[in-house]
Amino acid sequence: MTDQNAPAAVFADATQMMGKSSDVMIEVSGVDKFFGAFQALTDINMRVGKQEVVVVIGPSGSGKSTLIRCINRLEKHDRGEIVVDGVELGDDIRNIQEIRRETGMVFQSFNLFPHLTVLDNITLAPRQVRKTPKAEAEATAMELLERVKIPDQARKYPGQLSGGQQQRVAIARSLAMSPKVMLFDEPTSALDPEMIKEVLDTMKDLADEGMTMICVTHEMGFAREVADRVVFMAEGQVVEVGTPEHFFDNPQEERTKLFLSQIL
Amino acid sequence: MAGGEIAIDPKIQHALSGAGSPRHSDQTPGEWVKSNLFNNWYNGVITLVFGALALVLGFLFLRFAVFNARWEPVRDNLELFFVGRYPREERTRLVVQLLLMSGSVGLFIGWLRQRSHAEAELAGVEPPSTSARDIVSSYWALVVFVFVALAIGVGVDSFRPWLLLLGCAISAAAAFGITMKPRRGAFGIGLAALPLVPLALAGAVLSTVSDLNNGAAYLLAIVATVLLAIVQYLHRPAFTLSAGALAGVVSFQVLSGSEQLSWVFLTAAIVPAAFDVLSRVDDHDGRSLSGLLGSAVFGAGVVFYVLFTGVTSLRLIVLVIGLGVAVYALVGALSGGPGSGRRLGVVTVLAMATWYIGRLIDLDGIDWTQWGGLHLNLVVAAASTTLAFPIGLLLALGRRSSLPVMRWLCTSYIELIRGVPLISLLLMAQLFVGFFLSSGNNNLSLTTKSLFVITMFSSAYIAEIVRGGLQAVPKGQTEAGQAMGMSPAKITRLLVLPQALRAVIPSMVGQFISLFKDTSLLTIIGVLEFLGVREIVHAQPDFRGFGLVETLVFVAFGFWAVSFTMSRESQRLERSLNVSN
Repeated sequence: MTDQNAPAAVFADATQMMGKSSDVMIEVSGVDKFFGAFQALTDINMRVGKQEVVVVIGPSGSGKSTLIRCINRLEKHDRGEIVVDGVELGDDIRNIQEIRRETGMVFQSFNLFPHLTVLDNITLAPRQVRKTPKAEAEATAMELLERVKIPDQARKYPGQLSGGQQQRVAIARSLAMSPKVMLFDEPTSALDPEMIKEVLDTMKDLADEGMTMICVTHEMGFAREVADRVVFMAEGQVVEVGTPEHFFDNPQEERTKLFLSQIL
Repeated sequence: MAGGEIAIDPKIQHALSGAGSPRHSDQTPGEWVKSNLFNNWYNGVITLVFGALALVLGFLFLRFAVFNARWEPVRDNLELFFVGRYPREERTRLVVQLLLMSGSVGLFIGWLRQRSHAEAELAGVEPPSTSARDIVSSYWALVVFVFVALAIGVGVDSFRPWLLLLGCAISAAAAFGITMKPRRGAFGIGLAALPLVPLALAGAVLSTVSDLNNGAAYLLAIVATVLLAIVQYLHRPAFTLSAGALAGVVSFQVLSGSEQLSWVFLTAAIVPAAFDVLSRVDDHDGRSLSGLLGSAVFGAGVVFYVLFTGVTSLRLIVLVIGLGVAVYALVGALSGGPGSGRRLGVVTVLAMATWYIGRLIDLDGIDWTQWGGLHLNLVVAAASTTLAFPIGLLLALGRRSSLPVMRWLCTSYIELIRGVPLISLLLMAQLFVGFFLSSGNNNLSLTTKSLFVITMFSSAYIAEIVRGGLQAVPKGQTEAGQAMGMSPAKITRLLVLPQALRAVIPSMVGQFISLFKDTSLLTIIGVLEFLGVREIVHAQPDFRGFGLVETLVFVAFGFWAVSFTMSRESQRLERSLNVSN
């Protein structure tokens, strides 16, 4: 059963937060995004509270990845407003850098740096961006590697690790900047089935520790178990939002029902 | 079966293992021949036909080379081919240079070994070993060329060249020995001191260079020995690198004696060791203070340099740039940056010291207008390679710049240079490069002008090669850097460039090889290089119209041996860098 105080379990938009805290971490309002003539996002409104875990699902091409890539300005939104932890994302490069420092991102294709060892991959940004001394950065990196359970791989190169290990290194790399928000862009889509679990477990631990997270994923089991809220997108719009229970068991929109019937 | 394994494309795996031919260790040569050359009837026919053709051609060439060819023009002019009209009484300088260069090579190889061993130790794996077979397959052509050349010339010049060759080998081996891990105990110390002896001797040979006074030479030999002892005792890659670079710079100094820019090279050589010392004493609390001091020293050094050497327009530019850098470092130090100000300060102190020492010693050398032969080709190729590489890198980055003016400038430069034959540029240089370089003062030597032109020319090609590499780096790499808040400059320098350069090693080395061969064009504007020596030889009364093919074959062999060695070395480099992927 969900909290009786929660208004409705299924909402028309995504601005109603369901997390453990009422403070807003990310606020997206009225965002449009075009790729040439193609409109990838249409009037997206969304709020994510501190320590809230939001899972974004939807068919491919629905704009899920574009949405989270707009939040750290890997894509520039064309209309609307995005505010991350009180900083508005505009054209000012300093604001962008500030938001990027506070926002970790994990990519579908890991994007580890193949010419650096695992340890150097993790310590690079803290040392270069935060100016952390080497010894301190390496100590933090080793702690993070313990946390993602691969401390013995520190001196290897990414190419020598399995996909699941690489993605866990990528997560550790993002955490090394001690971000306030983690964005996951289909982190398990490029993995062999038997490696998905180790990555999802890592993400679950992170959620349990109170990290604010937005995950784009096709892992419905993960969404049901970990998410505070599920956002369903199609054709660049938010179609339906709700707690996992209501979303999976009692969807309201036809489009959602169709999607769920295809994947479950 | 392949449950937990990651599937690796067998083609990639093959490329990674770097094996040229899939010869398995359990296969005898006979079996290999059978399964690779005669595995079916048409392969067998091809093997037989081309094998026969190769045998016939080889036989014809050997018959020419051993029985019919008249090698006298080469034999009697071997020195001319190798060093041109280098003053006879100054040849000792060349001997010293060769010995020092061999030592430098030995130290560099030792440095590579130390570095790969250190990496392997950190990673907790077996250190990579270079097999003798690798070395033979890299260097056999060069060795064969040197031996053939000496074998042809030995009738004239008795056994001295062979002795020199032996000396070079000993020098290289001794220098390499110094980089090995020192053993403990009295025996270890004795063993460690052993390789120092021939090197000290080689240093003492300096005293025979006529215009260097003996005291200074012995002093230099002692300093060199002490430095090498430090290298051996510390066994740290940075010191080995510095020692190798120093030997290279000094070897060039012995030859040219030019003190003009020597302090730049000397400083550059010492910097790795100096930074290594810095990193050892790196205390995190004193960071800002030492950075502050460092940038202050740097600023003062720049002002001092300009005031001390007299104000010219060029030095004023140096002053402005230098002070800008000092302020930048100062800001970095104040905001708690990782000691870039202190590094600058150390570099300044080194530069001022080497500059001052250079003035004290005041070597006078042989102007390089008097250099010639293969020696000149190698020097010009090495110098323009070193200069063209950074210029090309900047051009490539400029061409991808987001600033339109920068982009247009770089693009038009690249396209302009690439659209013009090198030979026409060289001819133009002969006529008017002087106008651009030194206002109204057109007394640059042809050698300097051609070095300038070849550098400009190659940099445009290198820019295009680097651009290709930059494009090959996946966009995700940049995005990963961006997502962590790295600045575009750092993303380029730390993430994109290292990967781009790795990807273009083969084509880059190809460009360097063609640059080396292009130095033969210098003969057209009247510089006496390897190929051009032929004209002088055949102008001699004895050899007029005699042995024309033989000299050509000899020169071609020389160019091929060097180029082939470069190509083989690059393949080895590529393989060793691929390990990390």
